[in-house]
Amino acid sequence: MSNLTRALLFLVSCVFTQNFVFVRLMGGSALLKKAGSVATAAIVGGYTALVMAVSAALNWIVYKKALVPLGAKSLYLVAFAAVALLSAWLIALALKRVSPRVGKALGENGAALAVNCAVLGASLIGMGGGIVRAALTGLFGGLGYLLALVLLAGVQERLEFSRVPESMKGLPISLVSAGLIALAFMGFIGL
Amino acid sequence: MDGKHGILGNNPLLRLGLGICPAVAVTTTALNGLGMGVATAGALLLTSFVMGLIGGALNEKARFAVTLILSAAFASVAQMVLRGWFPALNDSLGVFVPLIAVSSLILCGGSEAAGRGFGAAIADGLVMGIGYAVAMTLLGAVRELLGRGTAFGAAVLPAAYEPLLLAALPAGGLMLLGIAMGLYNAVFGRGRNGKEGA
Repeated sequence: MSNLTRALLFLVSCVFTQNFVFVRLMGGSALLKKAGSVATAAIVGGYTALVMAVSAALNWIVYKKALVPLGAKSLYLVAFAAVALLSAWLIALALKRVSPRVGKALGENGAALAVNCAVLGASLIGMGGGIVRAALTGLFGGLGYLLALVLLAGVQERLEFSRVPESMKGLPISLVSAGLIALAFMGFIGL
Repeated sequence: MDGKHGILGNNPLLRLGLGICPAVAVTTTALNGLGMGVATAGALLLTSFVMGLIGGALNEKARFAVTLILSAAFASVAQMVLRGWFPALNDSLGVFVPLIAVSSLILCGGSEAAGRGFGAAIADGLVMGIGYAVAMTLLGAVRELLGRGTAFGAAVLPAAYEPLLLAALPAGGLMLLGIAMGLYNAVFGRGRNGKEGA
């Protein structure tokens, strides 16, 4: 199998069969973000995907080239968290420079919100292979996160117009609809 | 304690939606829910302890970063404790043990603890942690009962019970947590809900 085919298969696996939000359950934040419009969701999702890719690659380097040689493996979580926060902050800064619209969508504490389960999870899962695999785990996993965020924003837009029982409004109904989407994602098993 | 958070009154998981990631991922059994809940509560208490001590000296922006680093450090401790003393539990919780580092329960709780005084920080951390652990255990127990017909590994339903496989799957976990939150709101009335976090 060529590298390209392998990469494509890996893409399908990360986005659909092993989706970070609906299958691996590492993106609870996606459920909570009041994404607003689908467009905002796409921007936030794309930003998160970038952070996931960059921090997964950087964390791979930090772990294999610094922590393991130094015999400081037990510090890995602290190092990963610091690297993730730093890359989230720098990427947010860069994106805001490039486009004010993106900056507005990310909000004031975009960087703080970006350090979530999905970002750290991508770094942890990506540790198994080489650096390319680590970066691709972050990037493709992030695309799966982006897809989930857009799908959920779409559902939430529809929910605005439906009659939901008072106690189920907001987060509860979002979770139940996310469960239904997760059920649909199970159909991808076997792809 | 100012009663801002509570075990029943303002449950961090069921009302505020904090720490949702592991709440759906690992609560396939009551024991997993309990283990994860206690581990997270312990890390939260330690983070609140330190933030209660030093939080007042930090400005708003630094608080989040310091909380994150502390939370990662105490998540490492939790992982070492689980790996050393409860290896079977550690294996079944898997990657979600290190992910305690970015639990929104700790990140929000720790940031809030800063600058609120030492006593209030500890009390809040303790109450939120217990509330979270109780909710996690209950969710795990319901999913285990429906999905396997057992409670803490012991068979409680008659052998004729056909396990509801969905309850043990991610999809079922999301739905059951949503329903649990809805029931909680119906019983305890609505407060602020859907606060942001991971």
